Amino acid sequence: MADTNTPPDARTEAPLLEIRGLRIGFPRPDGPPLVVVDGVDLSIRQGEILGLVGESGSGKSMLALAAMGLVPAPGYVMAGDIRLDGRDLVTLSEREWQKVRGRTLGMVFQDPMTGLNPVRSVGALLGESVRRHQKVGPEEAAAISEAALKAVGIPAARERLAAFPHQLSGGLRQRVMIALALVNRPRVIIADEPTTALDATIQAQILDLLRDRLHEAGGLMITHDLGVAAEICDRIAVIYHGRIVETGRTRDVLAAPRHPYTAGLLAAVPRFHGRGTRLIPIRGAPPGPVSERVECSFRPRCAKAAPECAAAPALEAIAPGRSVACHHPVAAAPAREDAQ
Amino acid sequence: MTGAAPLLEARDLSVTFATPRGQVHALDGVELSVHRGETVGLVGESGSGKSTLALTLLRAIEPTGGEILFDGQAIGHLGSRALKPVRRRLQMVFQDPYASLDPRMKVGRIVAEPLRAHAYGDRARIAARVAELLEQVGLPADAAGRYPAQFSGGQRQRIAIARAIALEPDMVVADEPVSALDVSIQAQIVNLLQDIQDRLGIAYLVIAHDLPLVHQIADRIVVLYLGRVVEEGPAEQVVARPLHPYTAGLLAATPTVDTAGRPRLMLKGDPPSPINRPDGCPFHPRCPIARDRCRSERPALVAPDAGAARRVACHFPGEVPPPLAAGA
Repeated sequence: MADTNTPPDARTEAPLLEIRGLRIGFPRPDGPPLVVVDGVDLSIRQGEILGLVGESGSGKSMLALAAMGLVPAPGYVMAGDIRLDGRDLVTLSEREWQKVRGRTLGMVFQDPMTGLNPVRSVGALLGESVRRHQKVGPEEAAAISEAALKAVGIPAARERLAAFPHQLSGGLRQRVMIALALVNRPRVIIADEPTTALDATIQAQILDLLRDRLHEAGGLMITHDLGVAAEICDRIAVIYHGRIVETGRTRDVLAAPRHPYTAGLLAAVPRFHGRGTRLIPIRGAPPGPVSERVECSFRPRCAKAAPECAAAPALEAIAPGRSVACHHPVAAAPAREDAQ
Repeated sequence: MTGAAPLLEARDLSVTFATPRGQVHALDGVELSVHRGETVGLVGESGSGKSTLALTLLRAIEPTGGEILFDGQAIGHLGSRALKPVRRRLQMVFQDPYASLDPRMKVGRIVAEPLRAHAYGDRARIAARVAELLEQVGLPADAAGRYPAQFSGGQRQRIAIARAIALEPDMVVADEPVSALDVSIQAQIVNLLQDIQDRLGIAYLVIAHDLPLVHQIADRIVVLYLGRVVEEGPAEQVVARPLHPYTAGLLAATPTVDTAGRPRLMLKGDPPSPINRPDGCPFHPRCPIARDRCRSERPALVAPDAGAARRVACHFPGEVPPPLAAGA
């Protein structure tokens, strides 16, 4: 099913969003900065959704914020490039960023209540964004706004333009935020845990919507939930302690994880066919941020740790479209024999 | 398991709150039982009443209708003094290990709190028991002298579990015990809860929105919708062959790494507000198979066949195809 969503020419096009060697640090008074994103490369092509999967403190949200020019001070981009449609974003001024955000870059956040200005009606929020970025009059802006609400499956779109965010249910609010992200037809949409705050049946509706709409541009989906990534992402990149440890086509990575951390996550998550078996936890907890990385960050928790792991491994291609940062990758056979 | 009297039983339990916008029927005739040593998983979405049910069973809320029986004793309207011996046997673990532990108290004192409240013994005896509990939940012995802020989320949940099992209760109600934790840590806590149950025979009522998790750990699953139990039965049967269309929809909506890309039964709309409950079956506005009867007549929670271990509140049970049967 995921196949039909990937355009056949996706592989030959230049990436829409390309991140190279990104490092994000937080200065501290008594030493070198703490590096929370450490040399990340990512690229997203037209019509593709990339899932960035990681746990708390992995750096996934900081990476998303950097791609939106929103790294909270005193954090800063220490090194690396972020290119959107060939244009370097890292050197943009805040004024220039404001022309990018909401125009070429759409953003969807976890909590639609804090992501939407509560004193603006839905119509005002959408209309202001349209008129900020497009040369249209108020009537045309209203028509574009109404069309944007229809495109995200909001019934009675015209009447909803008058509503305020607090008058809408959580699911409708998230649809409005997606409409706002899409209203100026951005090239790339970044969605940070867009369904985490929603109930399961609403999450399923929003994931369906995101799958369709994000494929029309390019999508970066930040999530902690492997199941969510499996539902809508064409490729996934697993991030651990500020570094990508594994990347590849979603179904390849989930069917046969090569990094011990990815394999560990999959063994730790409950599944419907796992009843009566015990979950296999990953021992210990992720390390806190560091200034300088020496060993593989996963080494203290890894069952396969060996002396070589004292040197942090680089992310290296092991197959076309598949990379892993591990000195001793998991064997290529399926991780679970009980998967039918 | 069906032969013995339940350890905890809710009979026709109702809780109504008065609000400026009208009466909220948070719980509306809930029937629930938990037997000794059993794990019951309670699932439902926002507004289903699952957290209200937990607080009512623990008597943090007094029911407005029906009764709660604990080991045969009616506890629904007991005063706090009469409840004290019940509380000793019925403990709680909360979702947020950051909010449920007093940040100014050292861990040793947090774990000792129930021991002191129930006059467990002198200081030395309590200290020895605390050390034993910390070991049982996998925390270092020196944890007793530290503050909750010095521990990670997973370790804090271990502290909360140590406190809950300090008096060797018969039952623990756990409200989303792992949902605030990262996946790699969740499994540690789930396994700890299972080990404790194996050792102490504690019954669990686990409230969770995560169906695969509930399926993993529960003997029985109870599905709550708009303050009512809509389906109940052995976990594997409920998941493999849901009888209520809401259960089927919830299963189909759950994203998992194994079932991605399958055709889905999509429930439309939002769960309705408990203030404006629909007539008839409360699920009918979202139900893919609703008929005239469903709009006027509320279905009772009954066994689908004589002698079945399951109960369902639906006029047309089992009509929706099980979402996980093919391709799962």
